[in-house]
Formats: sequence, C-alpha cells, structure tokens
Amino acid sequence: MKTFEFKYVRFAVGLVLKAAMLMVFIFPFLWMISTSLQTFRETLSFPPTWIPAVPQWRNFIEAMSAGPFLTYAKNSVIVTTSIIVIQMLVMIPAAYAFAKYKFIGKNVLFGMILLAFMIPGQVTFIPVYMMMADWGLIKTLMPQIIPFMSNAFGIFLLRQYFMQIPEEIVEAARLDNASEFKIMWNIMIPMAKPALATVALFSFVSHWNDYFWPLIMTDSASIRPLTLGIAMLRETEGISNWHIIMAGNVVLVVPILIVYLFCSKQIVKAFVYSGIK
Amino acid sequence: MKKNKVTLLLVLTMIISLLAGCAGANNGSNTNSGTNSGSANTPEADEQPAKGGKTTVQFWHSLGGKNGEYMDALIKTFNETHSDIEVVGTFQGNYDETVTKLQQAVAANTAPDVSMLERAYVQMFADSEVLEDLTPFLESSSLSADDFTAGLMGHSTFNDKLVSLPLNRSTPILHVNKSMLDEKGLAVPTTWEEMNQVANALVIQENGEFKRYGFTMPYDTWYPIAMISQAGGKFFNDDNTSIGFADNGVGEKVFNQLKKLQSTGALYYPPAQDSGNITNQMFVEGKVAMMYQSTGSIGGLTEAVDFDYVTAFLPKDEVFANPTGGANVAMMSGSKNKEAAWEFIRWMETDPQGGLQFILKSGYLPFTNKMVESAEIKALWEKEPNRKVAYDQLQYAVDTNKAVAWPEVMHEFFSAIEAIMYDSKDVKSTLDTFKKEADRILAQ
Amino acid sequence: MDKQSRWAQLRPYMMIAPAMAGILAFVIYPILYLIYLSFFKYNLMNKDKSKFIGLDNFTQIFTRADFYKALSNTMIYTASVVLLTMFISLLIAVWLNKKSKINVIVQAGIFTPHIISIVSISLVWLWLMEPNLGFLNYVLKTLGLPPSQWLQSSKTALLSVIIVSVWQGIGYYVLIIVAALQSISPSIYEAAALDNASKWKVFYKITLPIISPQLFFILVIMTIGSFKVFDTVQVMTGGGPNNATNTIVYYIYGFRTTNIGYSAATGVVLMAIIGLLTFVYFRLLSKKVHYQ
Repeated sequence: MKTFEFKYVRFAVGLVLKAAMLMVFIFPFLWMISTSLQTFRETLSFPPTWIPAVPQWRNFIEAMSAGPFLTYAKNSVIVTTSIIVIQMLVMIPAAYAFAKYKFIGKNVLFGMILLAFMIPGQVTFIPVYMMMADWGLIKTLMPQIIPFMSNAFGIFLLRQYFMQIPEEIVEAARLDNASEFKIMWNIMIPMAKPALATVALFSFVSHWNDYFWPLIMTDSASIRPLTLGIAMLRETEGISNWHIIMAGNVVLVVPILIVYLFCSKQIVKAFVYSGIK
Repeated sequence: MKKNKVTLLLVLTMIISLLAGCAGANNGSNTNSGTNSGSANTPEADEQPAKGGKTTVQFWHSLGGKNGEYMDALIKTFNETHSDIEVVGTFQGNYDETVTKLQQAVAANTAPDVSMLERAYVQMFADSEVLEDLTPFLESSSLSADDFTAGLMGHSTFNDKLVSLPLNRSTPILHVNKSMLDEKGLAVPTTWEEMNQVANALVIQENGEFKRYGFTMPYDTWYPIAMISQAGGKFFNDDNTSIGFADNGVGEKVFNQLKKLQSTGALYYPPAQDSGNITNQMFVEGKVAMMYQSTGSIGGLTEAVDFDYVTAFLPKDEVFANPTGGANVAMMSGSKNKEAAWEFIRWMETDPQGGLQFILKSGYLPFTNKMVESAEIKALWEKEPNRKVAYDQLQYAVDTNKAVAWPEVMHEFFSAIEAIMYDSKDVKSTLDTFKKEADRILAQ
Repeated sequence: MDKQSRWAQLRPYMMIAPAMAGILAFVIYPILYLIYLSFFKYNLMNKDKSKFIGLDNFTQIFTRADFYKALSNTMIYTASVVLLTMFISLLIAVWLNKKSKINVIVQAGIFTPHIISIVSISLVWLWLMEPNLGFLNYVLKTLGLPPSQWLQSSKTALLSVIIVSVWQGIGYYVLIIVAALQSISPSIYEAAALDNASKWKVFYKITLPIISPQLFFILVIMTIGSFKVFDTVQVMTGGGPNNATNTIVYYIYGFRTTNIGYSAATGVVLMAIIGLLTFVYFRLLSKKVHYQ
C-alpha cells in the first residue's frame, strides 16, 4: 500500500518535472507561433506578448503574398530532395567501400573525407561561387545542390554502421554467388535503413533551413528557396514586421516537423546496434 | 520488402524527372512563368533574356519588408513606361551581404549593371575601379551634381569622379515621447547639457531597478560618430592618415558623456545584436523617453505609438552635426548596357514618377532639390512635420568617416565601443589602442 | 580471371570516386585557392591591384591578439559545449529511458530547438538575457541570486552563447543515447539486480561501458560541429562584446570583405589545426575499430 502511494507521488512529481523541462525547450517554438498571430502593435510590446488578443490569421496571407512564395517553396523542395537523393547515391557505395574493402590509400582518402566534414562553407564559399560562375551554372539551382553531393558526415556515419554488420553475412552471400552490387542493395541497404534515415533527416533540416549558402550562390529570385523569401520580409532599416516574418517561419518549419515525426522512429533504430548483431 | 523497393524506385524516378524538369526550365525557354505566384506587386525576377530587342538591366538592392515592396513598385512603373528596357530588381540580403555578393560577382563576371551600395562602402569599391564615373552621363542628361541634396553627396565622389548618387538615405535623429516630457514640464533638449538634465529627470528607479530610462540609442558607430562631430572632432583627420578625435580629447569627452549618462540610468545602452529592434520596442512601450535612431523608423513609430511623438535635431555640443546613412546607387563599370542602366538611374533619381514616389512612401530623405520643392513633399511635411525635421537637419550633415579603409577601421571601432560601453574599460586607454589599430590599417 | 581480379582491385576506387570528386572540387580545390590568396594583399575585384606580400599575412596572424582570442574562445567553447551537452543529455536520457507516451512527447519537445530557425531562437534568447528587463535575471533575483549581464559583458557573453548552444543541441543527443540505452538487453540488468548492486554501480559498471561506442561517436561529431560554430555567434553576439565571443570561423568570415588575403591566411591556419585534429581522431577511431 505504502509503496503504491510512493509510486503514485513519484509519478506525479516526475510528470511535473517533465512538463517543466518540456517548456524550457519548446518556448521559442511557442513564441514563434504566438508572434505569427499577433498584431504589429502587439509585437512591439514589452515585456513580449504571449497570447495575442485576437489571432491574426491574415498574417500568413500577407507573408505569402509578399513574393513568389510558390516558386520559393518549389525551389526549396527541389533543392533539398535532390541533395538527399544525390547524397544517398554517392554516399552508400563510398561508405560501403570504406567499410568493407581494403585498398591502397584508403586511410589518406578517408582522412580527406573527415577534413571535408570539418571545413565550414563560410571559409570556402568564394572559390566555389567563382567556379560555379565559370561553369555557367549561376542561373540554375545547381550551385545549391552539387557542392553538397558528398556528405562527409553521412559517409562517416554509414561507414561506422556498415562495419557493425558481421563479415559472415557478406561471406555467406558471396558463397551464394551474389554479386557485390546485390549484396549492397539487398543486404546492406535494408540493414542500414535507420542510419540512412538519420542522415536524411539531418540533411533535410540543415539544407531546408540554410540561409547563408543559397544567399551567396543565387543572384535572382526565381532560383531562391523559402529561407531567402522569408529573410526578404525583414526591413533593412526601420521597424520590422515581426508578426509577418514569424508567420513565414512557421510555414518554413511545418515540413520539418512532418519529416521529423516520420524519421524519429527510424533514428532511434539507427543507434540501437544490438538489432544487427 | 519487394514493395519497398518498388516504392523507392518510383520515388527516385519521380525526383530525377523533377530534376530534369527544373534544369530544363532554367536553361531553355521560359517554362516556369506559369508557376510563379500571381502576386501583383512583385516583378518576376526571371533571368530570361528580354524579348523583342529589350535591353535587360540587372539591379541589386538590399531592401526587404515594406521598403522592398516600394522598390518593386518603382521598378514596375519604370518597366511600364519604358518599352525598350526591362529592369530586373533583386534583393541580395542586407547591406553587408550585398557587398559580399557584389565583390564575388565582380570577380566572377556575374555582377549586375546597377547596384545599391551602402554609402560607407562606396570608397572601397571605387578604389578597386569597378564603379562607373557618372559625370558624362549626368552631362548628357543636362544634370549636374548640384541638382542633388548637398548633405547627401558626402560619399558620392572619389578622386574627383562621381561614382554614386544618393538613393535610400537616412540620418540619425532624436525621437521624443513628448507626452512624457510634458508630464514633467520638460522641454525637448537641444544641447548636451540639456540632454543630461532632461534624461536624468525622466529616470524612474524602484528598489535599485530602472523602470524607465531617459534615452537610448542602438548599438552602432553612427551615434558616437555624430557626437564626435558635435564636439568638434573628426572621425578621420583631414588627410586620412589617422583618426581625428584621439589626441584632441574629443573621443574621451564623447565616451565620458555616454558613460556618465549610462551610470545614472539616463542612458540605456542596448545589447549589440538586434539593438535597433530593442530600442524601438522600449520607446514604443514608454520604457524610455527619448531615442537616437534612424529617420527610417519614423513611419513605423508613427503607426505604433499611442503618445505625442515628435522628432528633433540631435542635441549639439559645440555645434549641431549629424552623419548620414543608408545607401547610394552606383553603375558597375563592367556593365554592357550602360545607356539603359543610366536611363534607369536617371529616371529613378529625377522622374516625378520614380524616386519621388519611393521617398513619399518609404520615409527616406528626399535627395534632389526638385524633389524637396515638389508639392507632394510639401504636402507630406505639412501632414508629418516629423519628416521635415529630418530633412532640415541635413544642413548640419557631415561625414568624416570617408576612407577606403573605413570598413576595416569600423571593425576596430566597434570593439572599442563594446569595451567602453559594455565592459566599462578605461576610456583613454581603449581609445589609444583603437588609434594604434586604425593607424596600422590606414598605413597599409 | 585476370580481368576479374583487376576489376576487384579497381572496384573500391570506382565506388568512392563520386564522393571523392565532390570533395576534391568543393573542399580541396577551395583550400588550394585559399592558400594561393594567403600570400597576397588581395583585391578580389581588381586583380591588378593585388600585392604579393609573401608570408606577411601569416606573421600578422600570429602577432594579433584578436586571433589568439578567437582561437582560445573556440577551444573553450568546444570543450564546454561538448562536456556539458554530453553530461546533461546523458542525465536526461537516463531519466527518459522508459518507453512511454509521455517520454516520447518530451523527447520530441526537446528536439524542437534543433529544427526551428536560428533567428527565432536568437530573438527569444536575446530578450530572456536582457540584463535589466529580461526573464532570466528576473528568475535570479526572485531566487535571491545576483543578476548577470549575460551577453552584454565580455565576462559572461561566451558562457551565454554556450548555454544557448547546449540547450539547442541536447535534444538530438538525448535521442541517440536513449536509443543506445534501450538496446541494452534487460537480462544484463536482471543479473545485476540479483547481485544486489546499487543503481549507481550498475550505471557506472554496466550501462556506461555498453553505450561507450555511441558516446564516442557523439563526442567526435560534436567536437567537429562545435569547432566550426558560426550561426549561433552571428545571431547572438556578432562576436562581441569586445571579441569575447569571436570564434575562429566567425573571425575568418569577418575579414571577407575588407581583407580577403588575411581572411584566407587565417583559413589556412584553421585548416592546419583541423588537419591535426583529423589525424588525432583518425588514430583514435582506428583504435576503436580494432577494439570492437
């Protein structure tokens, strides 16, 4: 009886603590949604308004009609999905080779991948832009896509993952006269699905939200993604309409939430190594 | 298992065809015009070569939000009134980002024909010889530099060449919550001395916490530079070999004044990031009675406040003085369509349907004498005297931070401001360190 | 047969070729270009105005106090973020380990800072950390603690940025650690329970060693991620006050318009440091692999 009560109290306390922690992490998210529904005057109040008196749904219409947002959205979708698909095509064979084959120069080449993992775009953007201009690609979506074809983080993660797959499975398949391609396609990839989901979600979040690279690489509105459309809602000088900007940001975050809900289960699996052993 | 594979294949094919589709749209004929949203006020910034012998002029700007919409409207009007020229205006990020982009674009031969350029960067670009001398174009259109508002031409010339013209220009001004001053029977301050008294009288302090501050200013070099000029100093000395406010004690005077006000709550100095936003919010909410801030904020403030809001000249010390800000417009010397580019600049600068409309809507300063004398501006000033004050203050406009190396020196000046205003470092030694750094940069 | 074995030899190279091509074009080539620029007082827009100055940029780097400041900031930032994130996410993960609806919701919640735009995040935090009217100081004062200047003093600014970074990153690492924890077979714990081992002992002697590969992986990617921190600094402080939060990548970026040669030279120095780190990691990693 006593232990039952104790358990009950413990559960309640735990619940309160968890709710408190949840608040600590999601308040900017709530704040963003709240601001997107406020009036201009409410955004200027201090301390900040938390609950708008009357939700201003038209903020969303205003944000979306401030530019060719359909084009922006289309570009965002094309760029992020292309990046993910290309990365997968490039990454899987490379990670497989690094994990399962021995070859001369392997360490040096893998070192180069790690190096790429560590160099941020803010250091390399000028030569890349000039190269893209030389290739005549500045007016296309390519400069936002192909520089990311080799996802160093992905190769790194996937290689680790492939290495966990016991050699015996591969050997058994080879004895069955399966081609190397078949082994990769039929055995390795299905097993690595959680890891691929992790990389995909990461790629998706970072490229969907990226502001710096598309700004640097695009010169015209027709090839720009949503992040730049939203940045354009901001005043250069004077008072910005934060309610409109945040409405734009809410629109930006919805697809990510969907992808997260979709991927999170897979991600959990990605790090449950015992499933493979 | 098998089903999964099929789905994967399907998705792959779909995406690849999407990719192919998009590549086609960008390289080939204009297939994506139908998918652009139908919003009326946005010009379609497509890169398609103009049809029917139209010359395309690329114009880069840094205006977002409402001002961006006004700029789009201006470009639209131009295109409607010019059958042979098509101007494509594109937003390129804030002023700094536009500069970065312009630099790499010049290097890669993808620069536009015309660009907006934050005035402080004009010298740097002119020094690299990438800005076209506009003098012959002005002459061909029977215009001269004297047709423009003199106070805004400070950054327009470089080595006797006219390399840019004013466009969206602003200046710092004193914004006042008149209701609050009236409550205490205080007059709007016109000198530093009066500022000290009024700002201190407005402070409300409870339990060691400030509930209301006297005045505030965003974190920027603009305001200290204004005060340096007011105290009779210059940012750079006359031959641009060193700074002009260290040895004569002006710098110390300015920063000591600020520190003294800060210590009593008479001055609220905001956090560096997003400071313009924060000061505006505090002003609107009545947490601060007065504010040094750009004229660009007048429109938004007028809309937001529920008290008697007026503007006034920045208070003087020895003299009235104020720097100018905002951006100019320049023609890139790499342009292949200079005649068309000039027609756009000329129209934007001088046509009553051009810049004038933009100025009326946006609240930036009128930049030609004709504009100032126009009936529209007169009517606007009648209705909104706050905007006239901004223009009138231009008679005291002085820009002493004109040097090729300014952007680099600015970097160091910010460090000095931060050391003094945030860390309360010793004023004299901080300015000495700054002077050393500035001298090193200027000597290069 | 001969043909086939040659193919087998070539195969790994073919498989990594696309990845290597991407890295050569978009990482190695830009690095070489930066090395070239680093010997000049370079004028990007007008090459005729560029001046070859040999190693001057490099001597300047090593004599400038702000470079060392940026470097040490980066080190402090990286070490603090990695250690704090590791520790806190481990705590939270252990707490949220049980499979339940509530825990799943909480996990999703703490992941949200990861996915919303950094601008929204910074705006909220700037307000929270405002020294006079902000919420954090309000809490401190209510608790009877002295308020802090947060982002406005060079003494506390770096710490403030670290707090925001840790807060932002935790959700992701909790997810990984929870997954790792859940992969431990219950039979191991049952055995420990029979031995009457204390909870702490079980955690320290059993749980921690089992999830150490995942922890090591987190350590590696977090160190790399923190070392190239840019966004958070840009939106929270712009490197200030007085360079207190200037990090190495932000420092390089800061000189891009005014002195690209110097910027490139600093980039080359960064590359050297990163190369060294890579080497160290590679050593550690290969050890790890043998161990398994």
